Amino acid sequence: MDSVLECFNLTKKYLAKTALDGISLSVPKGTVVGLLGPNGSGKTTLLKLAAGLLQPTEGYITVCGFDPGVESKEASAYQPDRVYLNDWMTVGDLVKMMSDFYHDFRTDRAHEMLKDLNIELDSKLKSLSKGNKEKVQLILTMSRDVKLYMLDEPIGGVDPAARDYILETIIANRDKDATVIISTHLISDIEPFLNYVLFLKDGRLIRQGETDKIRTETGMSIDALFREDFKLRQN
Amino acid sequence: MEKTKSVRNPFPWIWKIFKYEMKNSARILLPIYFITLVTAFLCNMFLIDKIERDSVFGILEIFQILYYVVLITSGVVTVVVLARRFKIGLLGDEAYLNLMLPVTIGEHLCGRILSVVAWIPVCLGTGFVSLLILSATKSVTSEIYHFDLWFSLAAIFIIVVLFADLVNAVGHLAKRHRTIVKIVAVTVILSATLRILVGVEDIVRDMVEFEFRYKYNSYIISLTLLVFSAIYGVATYFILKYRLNLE
Repeated sequence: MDSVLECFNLTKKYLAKTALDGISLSVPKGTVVGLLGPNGSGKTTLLKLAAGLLQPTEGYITVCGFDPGVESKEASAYQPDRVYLNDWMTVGDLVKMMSDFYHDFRTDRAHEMLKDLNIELDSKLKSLSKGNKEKVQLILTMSRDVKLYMLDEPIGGVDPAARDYILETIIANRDKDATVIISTHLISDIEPFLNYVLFLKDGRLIRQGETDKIRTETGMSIDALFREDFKLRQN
Repeated sequence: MEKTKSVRNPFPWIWKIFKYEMKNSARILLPIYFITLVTAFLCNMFLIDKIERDSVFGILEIFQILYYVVLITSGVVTVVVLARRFKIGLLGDEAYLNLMLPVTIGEHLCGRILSVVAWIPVCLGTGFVSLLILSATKSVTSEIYHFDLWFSLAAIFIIVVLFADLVNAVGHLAKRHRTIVKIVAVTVILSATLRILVGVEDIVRDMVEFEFRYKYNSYIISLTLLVFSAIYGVATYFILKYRLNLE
């Protein structure tokens, strides 16, 4: 299997709004993929469909060869764009819970990253700042050994000083065959790590390919290309 | 190409969900049950004092009112906490954590329903023990020793929680105006349930002898409530499995 995420004619409609409009794509394994697009372009919807948190209106999506379900959740890790933590738990409780449910969860890796980011295991989640909660979530996601990591705005609420550590951690901790899909607006921060991009606009896929190839063909960086593709026209 | 799905033993996963649900609700429910017992104990103390010295008029009455308020509150809070656990855990922000666990919707629901079933004896047991504490010095009505009363209460607890779960799941189907949809769901489900219950009662009246009905009426009603609870549970399962949209 050379592809970890496949969609065919994937469509998601909410009443009158079409969030995704017949997307067909294939994400190669072993890549760091930037899922890029302006607000409301369908990035979060695509990741939620892959995570099985939404049902498609039409078409299909497979994750590591499975329909979204228990098997796909065992093979992939998803981090949503919001804080989902139980406030009454401590960080240590949460790490224990994750190791209880995921056989591929690496407790030692989680402890190491928490230590590096100065987050105590006995800290109550209630007492952590939003940024630190996001760091904890990211650590929990990246402490798993899976074939596909799907990260929705993983560094949006994190201070710039921690961003580099987190991005380097994401890249360093994954298996060489593992794929990381990062949805973000902070393109300049992640561009050095990307080797594949997907551009979404109004629920449609308008560009996809290897970053080096795109840079050569267009003569622009991904950040510059994004600004060009999504430039707001002024009347 | 889609890979074949493997069959697995669901019980370890149900157990894990049950374990974390119990932990989560225990931090709210156990202190409330403890307060109920303490209030009953204080009532008992003032009752003894009043009988022996007849000197604390007023305080006993205050504690008795307080006791009944705490007793009723503990029951209401139990239902609210268990219903909220479902709503927050499977339909709210926490669902982003729970629904990414490698656990099926059926296992999630079974673990949660099991925790509801586990809390009911604890809640009712607390009520029973607190009444016993009161009855140590005063003859509390012998009704508390009727098993059918406790069985009926347990069935009511279960159906109320599962009814709330179903209403929340139906409300979740709506993209907008969820409160209105929930109110409509409450009306429709309740009226359908009552209509069926009346029909069942007519059938039972025709089929079963009066004496048997008189003797086992509360059990028949409780079992009917449990059947409806199961129907609500199955309906919730299908909504979550096929219509889940965590927006």
